[in-house]
Amino acid sequence: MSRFFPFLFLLFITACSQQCENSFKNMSAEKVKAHYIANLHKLDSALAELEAAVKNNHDEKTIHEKFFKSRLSYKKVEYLAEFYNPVTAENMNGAAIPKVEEDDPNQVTIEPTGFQVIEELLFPQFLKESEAKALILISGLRSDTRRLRKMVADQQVSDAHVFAALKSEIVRVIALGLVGFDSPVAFYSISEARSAIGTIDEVLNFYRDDNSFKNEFSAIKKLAAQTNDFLLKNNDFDSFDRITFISEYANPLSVSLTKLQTLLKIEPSGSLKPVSAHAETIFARDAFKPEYFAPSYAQDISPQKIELGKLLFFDPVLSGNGQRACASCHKPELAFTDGRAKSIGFNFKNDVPRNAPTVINAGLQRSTFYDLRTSFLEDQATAVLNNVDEMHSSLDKAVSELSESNEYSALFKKAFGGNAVNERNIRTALAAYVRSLTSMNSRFDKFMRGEKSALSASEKNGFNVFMGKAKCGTCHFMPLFNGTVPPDFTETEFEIIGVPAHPVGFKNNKLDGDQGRFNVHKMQLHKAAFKTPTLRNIILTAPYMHNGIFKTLEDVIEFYDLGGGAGIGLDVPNQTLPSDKLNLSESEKSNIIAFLKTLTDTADISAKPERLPLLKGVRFLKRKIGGEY
Amino acid sequence: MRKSTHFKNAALVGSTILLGIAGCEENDVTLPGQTDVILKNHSVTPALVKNVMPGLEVYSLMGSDDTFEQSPNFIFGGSADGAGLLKNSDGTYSFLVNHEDNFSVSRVTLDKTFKPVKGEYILNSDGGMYRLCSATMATPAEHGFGPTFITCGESGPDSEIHAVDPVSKNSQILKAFGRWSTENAVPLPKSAYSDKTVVIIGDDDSGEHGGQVAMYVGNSGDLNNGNLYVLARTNDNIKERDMVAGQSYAVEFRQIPNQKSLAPTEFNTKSTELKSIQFGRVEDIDYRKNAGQRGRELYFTVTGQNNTQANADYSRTKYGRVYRLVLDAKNPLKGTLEVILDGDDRSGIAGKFQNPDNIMVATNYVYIQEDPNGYGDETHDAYIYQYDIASKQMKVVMELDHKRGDAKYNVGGDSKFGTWEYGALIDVSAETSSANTFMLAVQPHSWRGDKYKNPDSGSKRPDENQASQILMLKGLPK
Repeated sequence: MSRFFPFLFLLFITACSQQCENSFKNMSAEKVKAHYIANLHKLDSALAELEAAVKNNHDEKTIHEKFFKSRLSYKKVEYLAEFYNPVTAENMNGAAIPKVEEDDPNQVTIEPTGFQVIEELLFPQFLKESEAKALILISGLRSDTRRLRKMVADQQVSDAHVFAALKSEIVRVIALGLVGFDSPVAFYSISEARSAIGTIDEVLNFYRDDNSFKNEFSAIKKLAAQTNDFLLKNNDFDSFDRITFISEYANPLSVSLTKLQTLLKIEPSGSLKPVSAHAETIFARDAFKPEYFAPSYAQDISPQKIELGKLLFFDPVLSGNGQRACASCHKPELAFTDGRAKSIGFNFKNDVPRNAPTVINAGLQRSTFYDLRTSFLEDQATAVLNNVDEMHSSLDKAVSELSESNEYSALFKKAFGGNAVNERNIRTALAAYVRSLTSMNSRFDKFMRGEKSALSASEKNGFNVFMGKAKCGTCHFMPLFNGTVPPDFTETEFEIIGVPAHPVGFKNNKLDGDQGRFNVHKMQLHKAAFKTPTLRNIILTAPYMHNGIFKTLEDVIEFYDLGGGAGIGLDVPNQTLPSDKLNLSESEKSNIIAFLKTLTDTADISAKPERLPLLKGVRFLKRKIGGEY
Repeated sequence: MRKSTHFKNAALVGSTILLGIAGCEENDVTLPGQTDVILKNHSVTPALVKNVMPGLEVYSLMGSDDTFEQSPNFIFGGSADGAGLLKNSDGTYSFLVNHEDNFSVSRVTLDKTFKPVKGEYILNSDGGMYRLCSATMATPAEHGFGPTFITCGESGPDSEIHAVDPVSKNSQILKAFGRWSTENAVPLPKSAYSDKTVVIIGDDDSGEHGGQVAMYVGNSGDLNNGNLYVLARTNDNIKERDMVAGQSYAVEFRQIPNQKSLAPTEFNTKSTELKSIQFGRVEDIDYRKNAGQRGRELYFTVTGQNNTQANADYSRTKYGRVYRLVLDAKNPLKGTLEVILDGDDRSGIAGKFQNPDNIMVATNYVYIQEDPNGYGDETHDAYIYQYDIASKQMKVVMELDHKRGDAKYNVGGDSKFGTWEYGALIDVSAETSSANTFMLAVQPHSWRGDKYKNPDSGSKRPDENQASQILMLKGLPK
């Protein structure tokens, strides 16, 4: 054996010149994995203590302490658990809301499990009759913890995944954790954020090497320590200064992580994701990728397709009578809404059933329509064209009208190549235009990108209330402020809030009759559920709610302050909004509105076409850009 | 969801003794000689089927109300789904079955006469971890490895595929098979490719990436170090319904590299990048027995999904389809694909389809079992269809009998059309030395009660309280 040693040694040196960097990094990922597995063992021990405390009738204070310890322990494994095992993580830490599979004809209710359900049993007061249920749920959590261990055992953990998971964890802390999303009764959110951020610091140690990037590592370590201090000193949930925390600690941490990843030459995984892996924070101007939400045939969004789609959007040729355009109900000057409770129907006699929502940032959602019945904007376009109350036409008819126009034919050819006036290309172009109406450049965004003067004190206070005491951010997720769920932004949620039928006052009202999501799959659990709409440009998009019942933001906030439909005494089955009062003060309410006004951002995307392409046929001679309304 | 298995010429297993029947690679000839098996109703519950095709005998073998003499406390769980049978060296039998909604697997011992005598859970919900749908019992005689009960998780992007040792109960996760909402992972018989183990995997996914047909290829008997692929058309067209009945399409399997290093959602995004076909929920898969293709002629069901959401353009099937995939004799990565039954052609021979799910392929016939999605337009309770491969004709073998009006089976009021489904249909002729003999799982979802609650005592499905049953069929043509 010794005979071969010098040879092997030389070989190692040679190989090292090319691969040392890689092998060092892979070693780091292996260490991260070992650290994760060790933390899973600790989580199991913490849960075992909680289990014993409940089983042995310890006092409530001890039980709460053990629960607290378990939560902190979970926050040390959360980043990789969520990354590699999102379903298990949801079983462990998902919202305490029952679910149903929409293709199950038996509509079996899937009861929630995990920490949040246990929390409801232990807080504010632990009652003896909850013991059996608590014990089985704790046992389930331990089982999930073992499952995480088993599943990671054969997983090849990569550096790219570790960095992606750490960056996601920062988003999870600011957009979910600190809003109280997963500690809704115990309010351990700030301590939990410390545990999560502390874990990021520990993990980065495995990438530390005394010879390279010493300054960067020191800087990030210092930042992590300062972040820890801030969280330690400011530990009251209601008064926590979220906007300062995000802009001065969390965002710089995310920026440093991204830069470090580049320095370490850790190439992010190439898969298309809603947020670019290269974005330093989720507030970066081009962080979001609307093409992620496109069907695979439409992910290549070109300026030519957008330009064509824009013409089609404003051209009444797409309607049955050549008078109505998409832009009739989606007017650029009102952030692409129409200012009405419900839009005027095609026949100018009846209204359509629902309010016209903004299409700005509509491309950043997994589902479209208030009832989420289509996944892609392309299919939404088909549905609107075919709807007798809306465009009362068809793609087939549109193809024949457009093919007769030399100018349109040339534009389709430019956008798609070949003989291109067809149904798919019309839908694709319209969707490409809507996806181009993506903008993250409001005063709020500028503040988050470092323009300190972009927000006033009351606007900042408003954000803090919105994301804290008022719980708005638990459904209108930052930074899109719609139902697209951070930190992955791959799902769009719906909620049941009990919107009333009548605008006047909150006494003697009744529930609006629109069944929303229920109409799609007839699931009882989804009666009157609606997609969470974006709050961006909200000041331009009154009136509010799917039925346009609230004329002002003051009315909307009053409704939420009282606890939604159930809070004003309506019978709202399965309301997903807590029916407790928020007890907001007048200044808190006005600050929230001040903050919402900072989300306006239409400047670069509101231009109408100056002219429409020529069409054959006399009836098109006088058609109006944007149609009649 | 929900599924079946197949395997024939099972190894004879007794603790560790494997008496493989060598040389029977493709044969499904009933073994000569005596059988001690006596087919009869052993269950206290009637067979919950009706309109049974003439000539077919149905026996009720076991169900959740039965007590087995050697395990008086065992309750046979609900939602019996994927299953497999082994004959033991002492002449008894081991029957393994998934309880889909319990996330568990039970093992029932039957004596020489095929009377159930003992039951136990070999995976409870903590071990099962996911909704376990179809399954396949791989055996050395048929597949060149095993015996191994391959049972698949179908609970979103976490799900992985288990290999459970039917004797020792040890379970292993098959990381190299990828992560899908897996319905079934079906190894081809060892006759298909002499030096390789090829496993076809169905992905029951209705999301924006669609359901995939995936394939694992390893050296013979190796389930851990092979490569993973997804099915694509050679012309890159991803739209399922661009394929129509009566035509044949060139397809290939394209590799997802380094599958053990991927995050769960990356299996879908990689598939889309590879332009794989996006099916409307791939369910069960089986291969044709005893025909010229030596196990390379496959049939699979796509159950269908409503034409809303990701299928709003109706590019995927709504009512369900059955496909035939014939793999190249030399290269499993190439083949041709045909639509043989199209439920969306409502005036065609499959026009009554209400979402086909499990499938069992014999020599001349394909058996297709329904599991309706509940669109509200159902006209019958779940059928089993018999498709004649040569004549291309199809007829109904039986229909589930919900016993409406009997509250025992209709907890919460009379069940709606099509709310029950089938589990596995497996050929056990060889094991039982009894010609044309099958086991069939039935999932009567509205047969529920406290006595059936959490029978496996795991912590993950504490409130699950369904009952189910296993039937014996005698005389089903192959």
